[in-house]
Amino acid sequence: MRRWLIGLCLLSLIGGCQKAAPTVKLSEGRRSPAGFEIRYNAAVALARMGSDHAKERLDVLTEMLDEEQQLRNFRTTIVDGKEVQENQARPDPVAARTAVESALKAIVELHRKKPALDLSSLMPAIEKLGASPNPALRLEAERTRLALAPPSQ
Amino acid sequence: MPADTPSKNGHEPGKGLPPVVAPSGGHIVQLFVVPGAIVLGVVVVLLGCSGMSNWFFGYSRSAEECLKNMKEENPDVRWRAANDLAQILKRDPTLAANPKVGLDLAETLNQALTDLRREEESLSLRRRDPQTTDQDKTRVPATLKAQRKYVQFLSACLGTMSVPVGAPLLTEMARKDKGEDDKTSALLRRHAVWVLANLGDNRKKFDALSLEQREFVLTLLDHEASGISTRASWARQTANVLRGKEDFGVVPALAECARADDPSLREMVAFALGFWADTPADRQRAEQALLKLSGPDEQGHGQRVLLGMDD
Repeated sequence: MRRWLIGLCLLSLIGGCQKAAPTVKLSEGRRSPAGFEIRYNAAVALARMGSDHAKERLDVLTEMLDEEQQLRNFRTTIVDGKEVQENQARPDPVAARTAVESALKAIVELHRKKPALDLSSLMPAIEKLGASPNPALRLEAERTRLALAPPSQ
Repeated sequence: MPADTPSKNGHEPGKGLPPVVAPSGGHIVQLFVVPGAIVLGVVVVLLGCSGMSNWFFGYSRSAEECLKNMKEENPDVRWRAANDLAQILKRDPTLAANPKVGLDLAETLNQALTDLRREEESLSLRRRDPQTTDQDKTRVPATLKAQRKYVQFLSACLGTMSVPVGAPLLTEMARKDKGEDDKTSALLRRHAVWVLANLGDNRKKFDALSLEQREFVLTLLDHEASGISTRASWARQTANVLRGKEDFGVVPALAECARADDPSLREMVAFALGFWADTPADRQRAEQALLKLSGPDEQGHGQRVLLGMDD
């Protein structure tokens, strides 16, 4: 009996030491209109191809660079390994950050293929990502900023 | 050494206890090196045995064995073999550039699609039968699910090839918008588009091969191209595409999918289109489709075929 009690105490101690899963706090705002996954994929593909039409979709890329917006957009219905109803869905930080990251990479590719294209309208969003709580995104944003920076004289 | 002799460090040992002595080199060897050598010997023997290295690193089968198992009667054995082969192909560039393997896979996929169609037809007949209960009408039989899974893994294998011999068949799969079972049709169409994206990307690996290797692949394709069979026509078309004389028509097929009612399919198409825009005409067609898909009019409209977790 005493062994059981000690075991239980140890287990609860170990359990207590575990970090709780980080909860994502979101500011107020709406999700993007339906079909954003399609628009995002297509805008990224245009940018990666270095298409002239990519400049017509810089607004989509700017939206993709909004980390908070992506946390509102991408939600998962799998909570604690179980499928839940749509209204109980939670933000999916992995999917959200993947979207931001793919936009950043596509912007670098677009700049590489079309260096003359003016991408300055994207800079505020990229700079904002430099203060992201996610270190991987911060790093990717910094890489993008450096790639877009004009060559030093 | 007598028990009452003072130890080297000057401490007196307790009564009845052996003296404390610093471990010698021999002790260290006995304690660590000998057991370490035994363990190492056992591991080397195990890895040396045929097949054990595969087991150790998680690959339980060779490519030949997978291809053999894919001809088994049991659908579960087949899809597992296809899954294993996809993993092997990812790690073996020589195998992934072997047109014979690709053509074998394409033929097997073609047969699997025919079998799947047969399964779908029998499901459709059962659904139309007035004696079938409502519960049975909605139930998808396990054999159909296993066959569907087999088709999925087989096509994924074709997508990992660097020689795009599977492109004609996958393009045909992507174009097929009607079937006996809506869920199966939606799932396979999305899957075909996804595999086409992978295949488009993996073609870069063919371009990265040496000139001699590419010539060898083309020679093998020319050899396979003789005759009037479907296999020969795939080989002929692939050889022509690789020589820049023809194209598979992937972009027109994807552009057609971009107009589909299923928003999940359009999402996949938006991802895949960029990988196949080789010629100026294809590029223009792809850009037009992407411009439409990325525009504000794309609101995710249409009928989304929802798939369960087991799909």
